[in-house]
Order: sequence, then structure tokens, then C-alpha cells
Amino acid sequence: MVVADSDAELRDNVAGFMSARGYQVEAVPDAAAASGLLQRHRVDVLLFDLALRDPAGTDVLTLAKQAAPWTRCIATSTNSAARERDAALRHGAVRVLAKPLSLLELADAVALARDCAEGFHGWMHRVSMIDVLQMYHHAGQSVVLHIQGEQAGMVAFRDGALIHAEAGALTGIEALTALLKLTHGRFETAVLGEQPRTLSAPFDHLLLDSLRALDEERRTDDGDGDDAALMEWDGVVATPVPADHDGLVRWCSSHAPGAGLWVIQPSRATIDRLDVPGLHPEFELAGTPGAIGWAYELAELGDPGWTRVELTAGSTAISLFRRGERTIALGRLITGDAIQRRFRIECAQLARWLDEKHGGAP
Amino acid sequence: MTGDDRFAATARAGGALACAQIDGATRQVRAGFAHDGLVSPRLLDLLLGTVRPAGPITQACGGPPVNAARELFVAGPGRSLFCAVVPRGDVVIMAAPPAMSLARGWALLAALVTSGGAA
Repeated sequence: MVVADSDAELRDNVAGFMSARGYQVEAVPDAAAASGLLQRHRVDVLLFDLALRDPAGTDVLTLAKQAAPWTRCIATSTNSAARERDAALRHGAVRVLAKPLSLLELADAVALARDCAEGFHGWMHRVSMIDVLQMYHHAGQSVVLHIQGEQAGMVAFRDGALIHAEAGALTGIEALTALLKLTHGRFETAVLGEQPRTLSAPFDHLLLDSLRALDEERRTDDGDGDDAALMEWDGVVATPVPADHDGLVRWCSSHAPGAGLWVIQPSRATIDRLDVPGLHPEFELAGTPGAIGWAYELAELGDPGWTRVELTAGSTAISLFRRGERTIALGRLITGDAIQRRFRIECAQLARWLDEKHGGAP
Repeated sequence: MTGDDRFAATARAGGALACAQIDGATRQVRAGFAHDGLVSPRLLDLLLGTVRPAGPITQACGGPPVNAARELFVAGPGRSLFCAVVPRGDVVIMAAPPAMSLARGWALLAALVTSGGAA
């Protein structure tokens, strides 16, 4: 690790602190010396002051990207302007720390920088909370996800398994459910340290249970109990909500990419592909549409009042959602247990979306 | 405790309303409880592929598929039905309260497949 700062006292303090934590630290007073070390040695972490000149702080980052792409950089700054911080992050700094430095923040930032040795780090947007959770689960990662939004909280992963969640005073599954309720906010990852264990069930069970809890909570909040829902299934509610197939297609492309989407009108015995026909021709090769008809007939025999059915046949999984006069079908090729688990989560999400956005009708 | 007893005990302990392990060839119930009327013979025929789907929706879909069914879930207002066709052709069927989560239902069905020695 290289520490580059013109403040001799700060250099000594940081070098002493990080050395005591087991790091091999080289402290230098200027950017030129730091640049020389980056070019001559393999440096894992560079901590440098954005106020350095010759070369300037952001130029050090550019040099590091070109000459030592394996080096993860942490910038420090006193009263840095937002533009300066943004520039440092855009040039690849893992963190920008404010001076005077907190040694604990420094230790966290260095641990994060070390953890970034593999994979990408950066900034994402337009991702849902479930997307993020699934991403770290499927990658088998050990990280902490700090979440800021209407509800602040965190979730911890160890080897891809959810082990802990906090949201305000809540912990465990209640906290996870509260966090999944968020529709927007920001998140930031950190290195997994010591965490209590408040979640022990498999990942997909936790997600499905949380989504179900959200469904139940929503029904309670709406005062729209099971009786009302059953009356709707029985056709007592005669006026269906107008169809919004475009919305369904958009939902599918963003939440269940690669899945096929159909709408069935049983009274007319018609089935229409909603996503772009030919976009996923493997579905036709696998005989998916035939499995939709099969699932429909099984559902009718299993329970005439059915609201949802799921059929896994061969390498195809189909889920049907009966909403008033129409039935929505979601299908996916299943090439393993992980894909099947993902499909079930997608189905739970779609059921929730249909209920929330369309009052039960597509 | 015999395998049959263990099968029923697992289902009861897990909160199932009814369950059955059915011989796919003879349609005899090997184990379970409260299985009268659990599923119709027509559903078993359709699930196991001895009768192919031929209804109007299937026709609109271009005809029946050639795949063998592995798992089926049907949610109704009074119960949820979980079914698994195990490799040797037996069927494990469980009815659960509608309030049981899908995750628990599938996990319980997997436990029944194991406890009944049907896997």
C-alpha cells in the first residue's frame, strides 16, 4: 500500500495504523514519488490526497489506470468540491474520504479497496432491490449491502447466502420484507465483517416468504380481503380493468428477461404472444406453447376455481395467472435448479405486480 | 416407524391438509392420509401423460408438447395442490392450505418425496 500526502504527520499516522493492521506501507510526500512507485512496483492500494500537484490528484488516477490497472485508489480531500469528488470517482477511485481522516473509515475503505481486486466496482441505476440481492446470491459473494431510502437498512451475504438483515429496529425476515418494499433509494456495498445471524433459510425461500408477506400486508392495507378477491374470481366484479399489455411486456423485459409472455382468452380459445414473436425462438423449439395448454387443462382438473398454476415439464416451466377474463402465461427454459428458483421468484414478483398495478386484471 | 407412516407424519407435521404417494402404473395409493378425492383420475392421466392434452387452449397453442411433467402447482381458493412426478413414475401429491407459502410448500413436497422413498 502506498500513502501519498504532503502532510508528514498524517503520513506517519496512517502508515503506523495500517502497518499495525498487517499492511506493508510505503509513505511518500508527493505525487511524483507515488507515480514512480506505481510504475516500479505492484501496488495493491494507493491512498493519495486530491490536492497533490505535479501530477495533479486526478492525473494520478489516470496514470494508475494506465500503468497500474490492478491498483485500487482511495482519494482523500479537505473541503473538496463536489466536482472534484465526482472526477475522482469517475476516474476510478474506490472511495473519496474527507479530511480529517477517521482511521476507522480509512480501515473500511482500504478493506473495500482490497476486496475490489476481483470483479467490477462502480455505479448502477435502474436496478430493483431483488435484482441486486439475486446478483450477489448467484455470484456467491460475501458482502454487506447498505441501503438508504425511505427506510435505511442493510443486508449481509456470506458465500451468496443471506445471513442478516436490518431495517430500523427490525431484524431478520421482517427487516428483509421492509427493505423489499422499497421502490427507490441507493445502495452501497462494503466488506463483510462480523455480523449476527438473523436469517438462516435458503435464499429463494426467504425472498418468496418476504414477497408473500408483502402481498398479505398490501391486502390488509387496502382493506381488500380474501372475500373480495374471491368474489372477483367468481366473476361478481363484472367490469375488468382495461388491459395494459404494453406494461406487462415492459415488466417482463426488465424483471424476467429471457422469459416468454403470453395472454390467453379462454372464452375465445385464443393465445397471443405478448413479447416480440421470434425474440426467444428456443421457446417454440422446446414446445412451450403446448405446455401452456397442458398447464391450463391440469389447472382446470386440479381446481376449477384456480388462480395460479405452475407446470415444470422437461426443460420448460410455465406459470399461469388467471385474472378475470384473461390468463397471463410466463414461461422459461429451465436448465438447472438455479434457473428454476429464479423462475419461481419471477412468478412471485409478477403475481405481486399484477395485483398492485392492475387490481387483479392484466 | 415404517416408510408409509413417516410419509404421512412428515406431511402432517409440515401442515399439509392431505397427501398421497401414488403408484404411477397401478394408481394405487402407497401412503398418505385424507387422500380420497385429493385428485381426479383424469388429472393423474393428464399429468402422467397417459392422456395427452387436447382441449381448445392446447389446440390454440399448436398441440400438446412432448415433454414429461415433473412438477405441478395449482392454487385455488380452498387449497393449494403440489405434485411431483418422481423418476420411477410415482406421483407424490400434497394439498396445503392456501396460506402456506410456495417456498414452504415446495420444500415440504421435496421432504415427502424423500421420506416416502419415492425419489
